[in-house]
Amino acid sequence: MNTCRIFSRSISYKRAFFIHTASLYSYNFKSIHLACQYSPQLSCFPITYSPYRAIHTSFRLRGDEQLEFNESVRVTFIDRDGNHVPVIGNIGENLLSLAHRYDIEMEGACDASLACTTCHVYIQPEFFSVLLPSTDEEEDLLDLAPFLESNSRLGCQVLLTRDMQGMFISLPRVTRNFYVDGHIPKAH
Amino acid sequence: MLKLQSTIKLLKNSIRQISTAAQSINNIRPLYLDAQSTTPIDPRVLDAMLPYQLGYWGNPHSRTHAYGWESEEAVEKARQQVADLIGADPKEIVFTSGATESNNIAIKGVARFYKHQKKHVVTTQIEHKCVLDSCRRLENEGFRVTYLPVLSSGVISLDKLNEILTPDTALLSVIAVNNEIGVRQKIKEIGDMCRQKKVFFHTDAAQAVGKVPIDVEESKIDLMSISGHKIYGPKGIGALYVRRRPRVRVQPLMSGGGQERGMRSGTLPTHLVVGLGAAAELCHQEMEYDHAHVTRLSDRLINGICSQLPAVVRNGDPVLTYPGCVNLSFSCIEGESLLMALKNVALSSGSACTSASLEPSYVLRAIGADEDLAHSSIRFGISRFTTEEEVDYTVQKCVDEVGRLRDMSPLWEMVQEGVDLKTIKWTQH
Repeated sequence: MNTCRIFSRSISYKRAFFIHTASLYSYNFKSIHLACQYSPQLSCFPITYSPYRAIHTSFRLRGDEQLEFNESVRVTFIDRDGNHVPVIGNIGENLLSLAHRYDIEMEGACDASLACTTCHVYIQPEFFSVLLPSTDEEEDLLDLAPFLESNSRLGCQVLLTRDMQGMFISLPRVTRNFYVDGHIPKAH
Repeated sequence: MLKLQSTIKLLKNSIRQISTAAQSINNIRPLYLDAQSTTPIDPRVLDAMLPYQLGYWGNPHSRTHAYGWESEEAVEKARQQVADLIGADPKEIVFTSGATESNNIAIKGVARFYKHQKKHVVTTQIEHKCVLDSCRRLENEGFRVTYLPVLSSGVISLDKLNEILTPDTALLSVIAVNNEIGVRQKIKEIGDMCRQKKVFFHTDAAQAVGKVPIDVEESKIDLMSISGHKIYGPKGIGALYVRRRPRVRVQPLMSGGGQERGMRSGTLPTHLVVGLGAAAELCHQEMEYDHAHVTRLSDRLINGICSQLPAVVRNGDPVLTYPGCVNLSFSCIEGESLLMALKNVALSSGSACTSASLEPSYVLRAIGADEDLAHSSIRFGISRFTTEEEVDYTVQKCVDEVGRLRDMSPLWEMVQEGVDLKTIKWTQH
């Protein structure tokens, strides 16, 4: 069982639960609905509410899909210089936080709030169909990514599932934050 | 009589519309001091354009009837006017949609055309975004691109340039007048060096043409980008100068009917072309007068602000500069908050920010401005139509607001007490 703080933009949720805290750990869903929708192996109920703390969501795993919450998958990042960095990620974790956990230079200027396009990555084509489909917001942001390919995604929106075992993720040579003097802006 | 009445009615309506639009912004339309982003159209330019939006609407590429011929004649006259302004042959002028397109055609076009012989492109770190973006695209296509650093004055070092240009270099692209800090490059010296080393020389002169004298023969420029709306002409039109002898070839970005000698297919917008031509002719005639006017106002602005406010830094070389672009950093003030405070003056903190992070301008980074000063910069753009009263108002407003903002700034207090801001460690939150 795991307890998470959920950020909701939905006013009705806000009113009902007084939620104003950001981030569902590394999940970065905008609402509980999205969290449920995009993470089929996790079910988000029951939601408990206490007046003193932010909203809690208990993740209950489905019967036959019993798996440890921190069950891991092995994926490999290919950085700007072509170096292969094998990493172990937790199911449900997004690629941006995974990369940052391993100190891989992946930009995330907006901290996964779907505003910046700097965590643009290329997914190994064979695995592209395994990924959950992208939202319109993600597609709109991808429009701004330099050197967009058909296998482009935003790292912060790709959540690890068991099917991604052995996937390769390559980082683009440049991001929208393009500095000709090699400067890489820090996240705010 | 009826016609007159309806015209008057129409006129009244449009005046009302304009005034409502003005009223919606705090009852007052701010005065305009952002001439680097765009300039107002000169009424004489509009006069020249109007007939081509109503009466003469033929396709300038139609060869079989009078409608086409009259439009073509207007286009060719405009081509001559633009060519005269820069000392070129009219055949060397290609009309485009603006300086962005011109820069794209010049950089990608030359690099791609000569890719089998040469694979190296050189540009500077203070170019306009469209040049840097084109170069980045080329890098992805396998070209080697060098982004030349500039001195702290914003001027490029000729010695360094000399080292970087190799026999493999196809193209050098240098901005003639920088759009953020107004620094002028030594175009003539750079042109000489490029000709001697057999490197094609492109200059993005969107901010320079019509404001400072530029002669493509004298400066040995091979390609030059020109914009219409920076020289009191209409938006949506620009030109690219492409040298005929020695011949410069570009791979076109557009495929189509082969207009503009195949370099830029697509029907020319006759009225915009006429507008660009008229604007170029006016600039040619009035360059000296305009330059003196802009210089006088620029000095008035700088002296007014610097004599009344301490700790103001002018970014960029004070001599090798176009006076109509004044970039000032106000210590301990955030540029954005000053822009908000000066809401009655239309100003900008540099170029339109396209970075995804809250980083200061890359141009200010390139000239080595301290981060705190880079965040506190404002660009004042003075144009042909700026008046002395407008400058005086801006100076007064600026002095008042900077004083007010500094009074409530803890940083300013620390500076007054002699604390060096660079020694402060900021914690990230």
